[in-house]
Order: sequence, then C-alpha cells, then structure tokens
Amino acid sequence: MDNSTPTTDKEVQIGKYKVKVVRSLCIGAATCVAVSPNIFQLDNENKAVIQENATDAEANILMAAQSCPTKAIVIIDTETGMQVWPA
Amino acid sequence: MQTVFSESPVYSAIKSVDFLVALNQETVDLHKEELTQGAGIVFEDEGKIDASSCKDNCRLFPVPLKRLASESGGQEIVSNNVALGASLAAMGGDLELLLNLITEDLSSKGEEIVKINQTAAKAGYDYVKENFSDKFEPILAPHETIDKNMVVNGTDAVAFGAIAAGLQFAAIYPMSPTSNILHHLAANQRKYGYVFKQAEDEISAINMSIGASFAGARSMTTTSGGGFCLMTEGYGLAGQTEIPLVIVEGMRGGPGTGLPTWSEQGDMRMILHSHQGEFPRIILAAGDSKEAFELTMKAFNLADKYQTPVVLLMDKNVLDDEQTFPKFDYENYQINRGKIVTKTESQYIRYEVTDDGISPRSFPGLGNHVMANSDEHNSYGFSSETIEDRNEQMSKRLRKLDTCAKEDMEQPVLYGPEDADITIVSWGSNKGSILEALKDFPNLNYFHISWINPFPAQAVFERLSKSKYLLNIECNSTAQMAGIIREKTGIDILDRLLKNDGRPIFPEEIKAKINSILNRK
Amino acid sequence: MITQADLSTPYFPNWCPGCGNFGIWAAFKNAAIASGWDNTNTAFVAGIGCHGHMVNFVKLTSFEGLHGRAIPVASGIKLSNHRLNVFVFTGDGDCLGEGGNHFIHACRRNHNITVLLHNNNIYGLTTGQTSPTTRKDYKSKSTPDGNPDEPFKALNLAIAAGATFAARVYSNDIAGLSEMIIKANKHNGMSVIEILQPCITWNKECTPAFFTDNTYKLPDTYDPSNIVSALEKTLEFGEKKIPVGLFYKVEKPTAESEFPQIDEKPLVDTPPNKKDIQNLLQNLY
Repeated sequence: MDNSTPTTDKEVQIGKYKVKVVRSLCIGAATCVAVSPNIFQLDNENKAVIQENATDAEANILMAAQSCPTKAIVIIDTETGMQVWPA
Repeated sequence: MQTVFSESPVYSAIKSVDFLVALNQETVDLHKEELTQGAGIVFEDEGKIDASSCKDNCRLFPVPLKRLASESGGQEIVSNNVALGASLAAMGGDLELLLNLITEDLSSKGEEIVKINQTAAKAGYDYVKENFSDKFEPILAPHETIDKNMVVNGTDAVAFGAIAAGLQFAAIYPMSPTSNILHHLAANQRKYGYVFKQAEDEISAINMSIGASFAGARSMTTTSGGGFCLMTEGYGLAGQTEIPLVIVEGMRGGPGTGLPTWSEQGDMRMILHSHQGEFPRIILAAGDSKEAFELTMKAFNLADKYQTPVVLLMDKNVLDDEQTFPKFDYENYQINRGKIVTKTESQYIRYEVTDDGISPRSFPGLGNHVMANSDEHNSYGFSSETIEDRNEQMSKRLRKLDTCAKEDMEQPVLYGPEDADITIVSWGSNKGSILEALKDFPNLNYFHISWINPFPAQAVFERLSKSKYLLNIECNSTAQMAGIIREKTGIDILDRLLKNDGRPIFPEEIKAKINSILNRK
Repeated sequence: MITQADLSTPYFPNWCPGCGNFGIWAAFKNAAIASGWDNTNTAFVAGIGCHGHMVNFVKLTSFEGLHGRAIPVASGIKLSNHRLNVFVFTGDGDCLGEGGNHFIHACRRNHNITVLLHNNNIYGLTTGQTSPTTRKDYKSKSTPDGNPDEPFKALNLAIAAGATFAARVYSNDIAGLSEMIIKANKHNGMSVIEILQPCITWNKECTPAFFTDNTYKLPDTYDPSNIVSALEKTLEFGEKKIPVGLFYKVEKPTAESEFPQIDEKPLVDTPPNKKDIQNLLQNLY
C-alpha cells in the first residue's frame, strides 16, 4: 500500500461505482473504515484512502459514504453518469 | 428472648410469662405486667435487682448468679448457665439433660469451658433445690419417649431450601433480618458447589444474580424492604429481559431505616407495584418456617418455568422465630427448568411469541445468538419501538401470569371448620398466633393466604362470600391485604385488627378481639 | 472461523456519522474475527448510552442492561460461566457516574472481564450534559456557567481500586484498538480500556483533530508492571500530553479463582440438581 501523499484525489472503479475521497474534507473519523473496511483504510496522515483491487457490496459502499460526517466520499454511478452521493 | 413450650403443638409466641429470668432490672420492669399468677422469677440476688414489686403474685428465686459463676471458675457470662440450672430446678427438670446439652453445645470450645459451664449449671440447680424446694412447680418432668423435632427458623428454612432446590448462584448484601440466610449460604458453598458472592450493594446483588441467571445458573438474592427499594430497577429488568430470579424479601418495620430488628407486614404493596411500567411478577408469602422451606424450593421452579422474578415475602417473625417441626421432607421435589433449548438453531428467537407467553430459553455458550434486552424489543431481542413489537411483547409477557394462575397458582388454606361464626383472613406469621388463639374457639376458622400474585381471586371471593363474619388481621397500618382483596374480589372486610408496633400480634390480643365480636352479637 | 457476515445483524448503526462508536465497533469486530470469538465462547454486556446500542449491531450473545449496571451483570455471567470471554461496553456516564460503585469494586476484586469504556467526555444519548470526565469549566446544557467539578482520571481510579490491566486507545485507531482488545481479553483479570472518542454532535472540543494532535504513544521503554509510574502516567491529561497505550499490567488472582468449587469446570457446566441436605437439617436438632 502506497501511503505517500497524493497530489490529486484518487478515483477508483469498484463495480459500477467510481469512488473518490476528497482529502481536504476528510477528518479521519474512520466511519467509512468501520462500515467498509475492505475498501477504506486510514493512511499515515489519518486520512481515508481507497484500497486497490478491493470489492464490497454496492450498498455497503454507499452506506460508508453516507456515514461520513463531512461528506468527503463521492460516488458516481458510471452506468448513468450521475453522482449518487453526496446527492 | 422468649421460649414457649408445651406438650401440645405451639404455634406462636404469647404475651403472658410464666417464668422470668432477669439478669438486669430492666427485664423486671418491662415484663412484670405480663407475669401470670404464680409465675416464677429467677434473678440476681446480691444487691442488683429489685423484684419486690412482684412478690405478692409470684414465686421469687433470688440467686447469687455472678458469685456462683465466678466460684465455678468462669467469667460473668457463665451466669447464664447458673440461671438455667436454677430455672430447671424450679420447674422440676432433670439436671443430667442440661449437662448433656452443655456438652453438645460447647464442646467445640474445649473441655475446660464445658466443665466450667456444667459446674455453674449445677451450682444454680443445687442452690435453688436447697433454698426454695417449697416453691417448685414440676412442669419439666422428663418423658419416656419424645418425637425428635428440628428447631428451625425462617432463615435456616430459606437457605437450606435453596440449596436443596439446586441453587447455583447467590449475590447478597447483608441486611437485617435476612443476614443469616447470607451466613448459611456463605458457609456451605464449597460443600454444595454453588457460588455465593457478597456484593457491594443491593443494586449490584440483584444485577449480578440476573447476570448469573442469564448465563444459566439457578440464582437468588435476599434483602429487606430498604434493600428491595434499591432493587426495584433490577426487579423490572428481570421481568423485561425474562430472566428467572428468586428474591427473598424479609419485612421489618419501615419506613426508612425504621425498626431494623422488629417486624411489620408493610411491603406487600411495594412488591406488587414497584418498578415503572408493568411486568409479570409472581409473589408468595410464607407463614412459618415449613412454608418458607417449601415455598423457596417452589420459587426456583416457578422462576425457571415463567422466566420472570419470583418474590418470597416473609416477615421478620418468620425469619427469626425458632419453631419445632418434624424434619422437612423434600423427597418429592423435582427440579423443573422450564423450556430449555438444547440445540443450536440457525436463527434462534429468544422472545418467540407463544400461547402461554413463555419462550424457549437458550443459554450463552451453546452456540445460539442469545439476547437479553432491557429496551423494548422484537422477538429476536433487537431493540424495537414499533407498535406491533411493543404490543406483541407486552401482552406475551403479561400472559405468563394467566398461565401461572391456571397451571401453578395455589388456593388459600382454610384452618378450622367449613362453617364458622367468624372467618379470620390473614397472611404471614399471623398464622401462628391465629392458630394459637383458635385453640379456644373451635367454631371459628382461619383463611390463610400465601399466593399474592397471581391472586386466587375466585377462591377468596367464594370463601368470603359465604362467611358469616369476616375479621382481617394484619401487622401494618393500612390493611394492605384487605385492600388487595377488595380490589380483586369486590369484598371489603370492614373489621380489621391492625397492629404495627413491631411486635408480633399475640394470641391474647386476637382472643380479646374475638370475644369483643362474639359478645356484641 | 468467524467472518464479518457472521457478526452482522439486520441493523445499520444509528450513531451520528463520524461518531467514535463506529471505530470501536469496527475494532471489536476485527478482534472477534482474528480471535474466533463466537456464540460458543463469548458474551458481552452493554449499559445505557450511545454505546449501549452495540447489542443491535454485533451478532454475539449480549445483554443490554440498565444504566450503570453492566459491570455487575457481567460479573455474574463470568462467575457462572468463566469459559466465556466476557466484555463490557460502557460509557463515561454509565461507568463513572451511575455505575461508579460497581466499577471500583469490580476493579478491587479483579473480575476477569474486559471493560471497554467509551469516553467521549460528555453525555451523548441524553443530549449533551457534563459527565464525570468532562473537563473543569466546560460549558454544557447542564453546566452553562462552566463545569464546577474536576473530572475523574478513569484509569488512575481503576488502578488505584485494583484493576490489573489499564490501557488507553483512541477510537479511530482501529487497528491499535483491535490489538488492545485482544490483549485485554487474554489478560487474566480486570482489564479496563479507556477509549477516547469524539462525539461529533455534543462535544465540539474533543474532535478527531483534538485527539490526533494531543495524544502520544507511551514509549517502548515504559514499564507497565510498575504501579507507581502507572499511577503517575494516568494522571497526565492535557495539551499535547494525553498518553495512549498500555499503562499497567500485572498478574494477580482473579475474583473467579477464589472459588475452588469452579476450579475444575464452569459453574453452569453442571446442571442444577436436588441436593441432599440431611446434614444441614441434622444440625437443627
């Protein structure tokens, strides 16, 4: 796992979702880690990062995003092109 | 301390005194009005006690108790046995029997102590024989054969009954008048394999006992009224989480700290009603040591079967009074644990809704996901606030009482003839005094109530409806039992003999009341 | 073999987004999976507070009790079946307010249970009153003029009362907390883990940033077997001075070990049977 600080927020394709953590909003609450530990972990700056090649049920990924207190997780449905969360 | 003995059964303490042993002046002053005509008084001769006020009606036996004690080689406390020996002589008893009893009782303290006390007893005996032979009353002449009986009090009965019933866990905080139950349970745990824990307070005691029961252990706690006040939250917790629990409540004078070492029948309402909201509670009341033994054993089966708290109420007199009984028989007692789950299930439903209200109970560790939830919950046990779950669970829990009324509730017992001029209605230790009083009134009967909840309303209604005259006797100030009877049957017992000074109600007081009713008619 | 699915209930937590309880929930489940805690060998008791809802979100045998009374229930469970791993989920109000007496006596007796003390320095469920661990002068709904009372130092209290394992972890250090929970459960005796957690809704001071800024790990050179240094270290709580890690761990007889009648096997392994009490009755003659 590469824990160095990225310059842009990374987008990862998981199933039909494109998932991104907006680092500037992330406060390290770790709620997403609690809900979907396969997908989300905290890096050495205490910010959430998305794990490569990880999977989880779509509903769970959505719940993880919804549980974020700062709405730092953005989910786009690549089939429709619509942003699913934040709504 | 009073001992009443007779060749015929003795049911209670009585007010009058036929023989007084006074080790201090206060004893004479307090009890002289109770002395019968010709009563005997043994008292310290050398200067201390003045019994002259009794000399006209009583046989006085002044004995140098302390001197004889010290001459026997003992401390002042040995005057007890000097006085016993003296009393024995005055009543025509056999010294040998007393000497044997001293050996039995004091042998654990060593041969020297036994000898000193025997010498003291003999000294008292000889002194009275030498000086007062004209005043003897030979009422203690030995018998050829006697039935061997136990001398047992309520605390013995509860503790031993619990052990016999398979007690596995008890957490108790000491409180008069129930502490002796704790002592018994503490002393016997290793021998009988159960765990006794002295908790830091009553709240811990009941919660620990509930935890143990949740884990599958037959569990109990004991306390008095003030301690029960602290347990009220736990009481309802057991009801809400449907966890079996036996609680023994020994009533003493209230309110507040009250009369710690005296009696009252003041907690029936509290046990019936305490805790917020409504849950099924089974409440029994014992009238003497034998009932205490039997009801304790029964309480464990009821608690397990109905998965709810069972309170056994006893007043201080039942707990402390030593009474003779033939050996308690528990041969026919069988342990009944109720509906127990013995297999793992893919989706175990802890609070399954059933016709009788009782859900199958799985113990932790078997492999099922077992929940106990003080929140209102659904049938799995998860917290729920829905209308459906609330109604379903509440009525399921309360339904258990209906089942209990049908399957296990017992009817009150009638002592005396079917047809009577007066029917006395009462509960608890009043039983003994009432039976004692009724020895003089064979035309009266006594209706003894020991199931408080569920309440045998039908049986009570039928008996009271056909009674010619009703008398309620209670040792409280507000006639709690009479109130419950009225609530459940519509019958208001108007004549109430209420006594609430901490002392037992005496047969003499009951007889006086009965006579005043009969003379009125 | 336990999986996340085995531990899932039909209910998603109703804690506020960002609540430290999510971290504690995740850490506990991870510890359960790593250790094989399941319904044959584990039970937990929760008190009343936001922490109390844990029973609805973890599919392990559990008891949600009364406010402040989780510890005695857990003690009763452990004494009756000491084969079970027994955990207590409690909060700063539940454990140190309502349940204070039970806490100190359980520590004194060294009951072999693990206490997860959710400490968010506020009363959350009842909407924001000052708790026994809220700092002095804090302004809340119940202390609008500033908290007049000094807070407890929970671990200091635990050690002084007799607990034999005392640790502090931050709720969002999920891996670290998991590890500590496993360690605490392995320890034979009263294990107290004070879990510092944010309360996003009611405590605006103790934010995640507050904890990451002001906590520091106890150094590798720290000796947790020394009670004096443990008592000193657990008094430390201030700006940049909140130590986390294992403060104290010693071996002492547990409350359960004082009962020889359960040496051989747990109490409930033998079903209750009618006892022969002839000897007891004989003594009454």
